[in-house]
Amino acid sequence: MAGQVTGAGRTSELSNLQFALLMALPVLLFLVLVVAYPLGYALWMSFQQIVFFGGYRTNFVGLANYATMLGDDKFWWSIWVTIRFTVESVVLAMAIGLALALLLNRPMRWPGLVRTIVMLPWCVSLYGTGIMFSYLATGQTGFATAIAFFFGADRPVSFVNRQWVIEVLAIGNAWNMAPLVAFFLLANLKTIPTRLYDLAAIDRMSPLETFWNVTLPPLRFTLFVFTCITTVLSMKLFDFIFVLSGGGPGTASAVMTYQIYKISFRDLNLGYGAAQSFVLLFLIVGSTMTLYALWGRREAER
Amino acid sequence: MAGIRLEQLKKSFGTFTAVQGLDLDITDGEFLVLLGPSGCGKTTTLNCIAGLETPSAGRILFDDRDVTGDPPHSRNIAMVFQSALLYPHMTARANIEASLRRSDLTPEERRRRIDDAVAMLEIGDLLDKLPSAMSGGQRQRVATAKAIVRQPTAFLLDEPLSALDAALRMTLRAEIVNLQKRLGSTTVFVTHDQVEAMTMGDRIAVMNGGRLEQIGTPSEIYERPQSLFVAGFVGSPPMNLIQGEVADGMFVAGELKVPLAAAPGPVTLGVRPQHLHVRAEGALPCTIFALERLGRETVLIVEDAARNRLRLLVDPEFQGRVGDPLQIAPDPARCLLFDGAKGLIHAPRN
Repeated sequence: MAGQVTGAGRTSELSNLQFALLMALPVLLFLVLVVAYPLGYALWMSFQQIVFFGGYRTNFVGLANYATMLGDDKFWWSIWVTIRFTVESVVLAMAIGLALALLLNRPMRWPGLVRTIVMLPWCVSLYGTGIMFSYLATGQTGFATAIAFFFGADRPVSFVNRQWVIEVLAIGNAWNMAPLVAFFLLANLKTIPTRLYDLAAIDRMSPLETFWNVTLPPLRFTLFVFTCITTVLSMKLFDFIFVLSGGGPGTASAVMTYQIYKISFRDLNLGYGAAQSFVLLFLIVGSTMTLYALWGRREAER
Repeated sequence: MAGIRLEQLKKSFGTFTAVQGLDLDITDGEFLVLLGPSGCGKTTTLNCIAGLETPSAGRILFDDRDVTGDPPHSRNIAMVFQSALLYPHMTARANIEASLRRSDLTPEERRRRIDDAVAMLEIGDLLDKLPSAMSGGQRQRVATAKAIVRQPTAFLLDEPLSALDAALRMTLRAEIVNLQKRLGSTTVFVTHDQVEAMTMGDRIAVMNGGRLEQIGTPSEIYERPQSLFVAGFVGSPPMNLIQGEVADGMFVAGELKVPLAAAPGPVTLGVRPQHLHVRAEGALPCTIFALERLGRETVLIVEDAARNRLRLLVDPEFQGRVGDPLQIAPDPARCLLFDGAKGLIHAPRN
């Protein structure tokens, strides 16, 4: 074969591994720059007390920032709010996405147009979604007020309150995410042979059993993937919440991202903020790994 | 087991009529093949028998019970679909069990039936596999087992072999017929493949455009097709159809003349490839268009002066090359005559 060289006489030749590393070097450098450096810097910050007033200086405090968290009620509250918001967002996004997919899979007129319209919410930025849902849910401009006034009430109805603000946030988040879920599910639904429904009819399956045995199986892996994606996106969501409720009323919707923002950039306690952001990171990684262990592994086996 | 009777069955979808007034009598234990090209209404007819479609008009009777409006499960039928459809996320065992889950059988009886079916189809080693881990033939066996555990009034098969490769199709063809004869169950088998129809059916019902063209045993369909459509559809290679007319006890089409006693007028002559012969002279001059060597015989495709193509079966030793001239003549005793409107008007006595 042309170019084949007998080993003798060659002085240096890269091994496969060396060559691979050389080729990957630009990407590795880039990753170090944009991922490892900020991550490492944040980790370093989380062990410091950073002071701005009277000149910028840092004091090494070890695990003190982490220790502070344990006794910080606002921290624990933000974890609880984050979990509640995430669970509600995921359940709503999956349920709405599934419902939309099932509706879109029915024969209809102008299917392309309908699909485009259904897809639109996903194209709205979360910032825009936040403003829209803020208008929809607050008392002065909200739809609940409009309905209440129509039926003769004389007081505005607001959902941006301590009791319901998380649900308003979750609905807005799901509204934004559900179309994408619906489209991937719809693609799965299109692969189901219609004759399988005939088989279910002959086997006398009830509508619920047919859904469970015919419709759902090809959707389950997609549902798992989007449950993970929505979980991650919801946990790290900030702009939408910032615009809609600003963490309020009070601390009612102070999710972890909002809490970290407040500590780091309003209270300028960068070390403590960095420490909390690591907790958020582990919460995100931990929940997706739990999802995989409990659910994804089973789906991947099929 | 039961006989099935269709009376004036009609089914329309919007403005399209899939089945137009079908009368069909399927006797108890019979293997009936519904044969026709795609879109002829054969699958719609099967769906109506199964109860998956509600007829627009007409009646369906199982023995003498009117089941026209009954849902599929109450008719106690079993159906095998194209490419041996199974629930993809269930094992073979769960798929088979799904057939019996709503029956009021005792657990022992249920187990006995499943064991019998598993033994009969030799699928013991497949029971814990998912359909995706089985071959086409294995899926076919499991789907058949799923059908027979129900001990149905009728088996309905919708092109179950069409997605399989040719060799497997041939094996399963014989297996299905063998199983049907052992069980003695009324079976309706839908196919567009005339070879399947000829080899499997006790009787064949040829459908076209939502109507029944002809029903009869395979040899009746083959020997005495009642219409031009059946003549052209059944048989491989297909029957030669030559347009011409009868005058003075002679069929004439261009230079072809065949002595046939029939009423004068325009007709179509039908002759099977094995009844067309190469002659030295005094016959229809043609040139060879193609030769298809099948081993046991050779299909010779020839073109006459008017560029009509005809097929004839010749000896495997036949020597010839594309473009060679030759003369052919049909065996007058084996010729059929068709009238476009009336169908078969002349057939040899046998």
